[in-house]
Amino acid sequence: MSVYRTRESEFYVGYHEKAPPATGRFVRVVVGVIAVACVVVPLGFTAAQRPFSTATFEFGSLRELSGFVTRDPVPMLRVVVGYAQGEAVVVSLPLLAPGKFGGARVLDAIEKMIDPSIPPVLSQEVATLEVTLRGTLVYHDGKTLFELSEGEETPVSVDVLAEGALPKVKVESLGRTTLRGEIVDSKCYFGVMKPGLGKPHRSCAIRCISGGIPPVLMVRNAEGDADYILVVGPEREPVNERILDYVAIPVEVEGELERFDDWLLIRTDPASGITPVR
Amino acid sequence: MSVHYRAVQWNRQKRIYDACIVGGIVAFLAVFVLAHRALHPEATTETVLIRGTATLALVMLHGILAIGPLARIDRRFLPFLYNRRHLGVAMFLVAAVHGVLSILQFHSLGDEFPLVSLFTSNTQYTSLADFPFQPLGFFALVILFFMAATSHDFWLANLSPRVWKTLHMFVYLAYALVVMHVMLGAAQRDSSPWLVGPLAAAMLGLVVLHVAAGRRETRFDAGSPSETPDEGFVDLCAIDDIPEDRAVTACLGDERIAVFRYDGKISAISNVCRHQNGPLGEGKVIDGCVTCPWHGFQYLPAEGRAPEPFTEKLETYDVRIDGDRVLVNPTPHPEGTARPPAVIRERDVPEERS
Repeated sequence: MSVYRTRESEFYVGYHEKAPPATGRFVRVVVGVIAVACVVVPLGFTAAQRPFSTATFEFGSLRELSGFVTRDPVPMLRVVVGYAQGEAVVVSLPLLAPGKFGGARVLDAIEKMIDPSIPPVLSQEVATLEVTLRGTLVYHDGKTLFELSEGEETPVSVDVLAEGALPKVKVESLGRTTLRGEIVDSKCYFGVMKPGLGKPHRSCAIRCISGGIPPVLMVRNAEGDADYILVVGPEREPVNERILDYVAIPVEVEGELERFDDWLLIRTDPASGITPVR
Repeated sequence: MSVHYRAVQWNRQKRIYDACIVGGIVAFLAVFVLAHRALHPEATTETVLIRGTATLALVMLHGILAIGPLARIDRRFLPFLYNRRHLGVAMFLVAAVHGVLSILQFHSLGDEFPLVSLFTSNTQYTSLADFPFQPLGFFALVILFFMAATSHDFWLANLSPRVWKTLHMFVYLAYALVVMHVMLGAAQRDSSPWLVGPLAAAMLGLVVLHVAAGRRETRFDAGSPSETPDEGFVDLCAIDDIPEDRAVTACLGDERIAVFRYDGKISAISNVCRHQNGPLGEGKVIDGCVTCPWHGFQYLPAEGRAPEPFTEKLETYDVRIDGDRVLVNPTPHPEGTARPPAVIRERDVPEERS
């Protein structure tokens, strides 16, 4: 007959004042090991992580920027930063709303604040308005976006310009092409979240793009440098809802590449022009 | 033990245990945050907190799962088992902070209700590589919530130890979900062997510990007779095989029986503590009561029940002494049936050889 018998002389009872001596010594050693682990594990994890992006979201720091608002190809504030050879040099800042929403609602808010006698605001005519907006800069790798932070959707000032006073939009066709990269939501990628790309961020990117934040195709070359290309429909219309299945995964995008002021954009039909890459 | 339910029955060791838990959590997160400030100043506070609480909860979960088999293999780990529930609740709270921060970060302030977005933003449920990893973490957190919420003895008594134990075995499902949550999420972006390697090693360590503890049990059961007579006594061991105030345990039929020697007497009771199925045969007789090694629940060995005013009851068995041998009848008496102990006479015990 096989029987089991405990051989230890000590017996631990949790509600006694003290643990038996040998058990107490053993527990103190183990607690010491755990204490060391409480330092080594977080240090090791921190050191082993991939570097974080240097993208910046100037959270809590409001700036005033003046420029011309447009919805084409995405809601933007076009800011004249200088003149070269007699022509305005424009930097276009895609507009963002608070949270996971794009600039369309920013323009809607601006429209509501403008004198209703100015018709109609939501088309090209909006570009005849020079506005001063207050918001927060989001920037990375040469690209800048502007979030009209909570409570700051109201323009600081609005001026109606005379015909011809607008800086000309420079549009250049670069031909039909196929590009391989990852579609990211521009707000998170360019500064609000880190990492703002890849599988862990996918749900957030889908939510942001669904909320109207401009989708951007990030294309890296062999040297690791990136180009950023706004993704729009064949008529430069928003395709946010049609590309959600292709966000944050490797994709190939086929379409018409254009330079639009200081941004590149690709005009594509998501149904036929975007393919996941495995 | 208490006849009344209290939120926590504080005692000195429990206070030390909980102080160590809080100190460990604070130290871990402080080192995590400070190390990020030094090595990754570009990291956002939300990301640091999400990753810090995730890493800490994962480490704590491994510790919790390791305590059981470690205590089976080396009884000096029993002090860690005694208040393991506190560690479990603390781990749930850390994991809950991770979950809430993640839902706020990735799903709030959007065009969909956050808990709906959690399940509907990424819909690639048929793809392994693209599978939405966040719902896996959510379901793990739900399991851990139910475990934390029912961790008190109130639920243990009202659900019955069997149901309670079954419910708490779901921790292994939660663990599997957490591993998938990590491997299909963070590990796909950050696949450094210095991150994935330790997780794989910890998983392997848990498997080895559980197998080792399990083999120890099965080896013991395999050495016991598979069939026992319907009636009559089984020769168990010599009287001197049983240390004073301790027991030997034998598997007779499907039941483990703990046979205690105390105060010149021998009694046999079920080996299974009514609190959390602890091994009473590894306990000790203290103040005339068999005391469970896990949480200190006590029973009168000849009565098969806890001392008044407590109400827990055990099956009892008839014991007989034949010469210097201890014989046990494996047919159990109903829980709480008092059975007279076998009395050890002087001539039953062989004289020590000089």
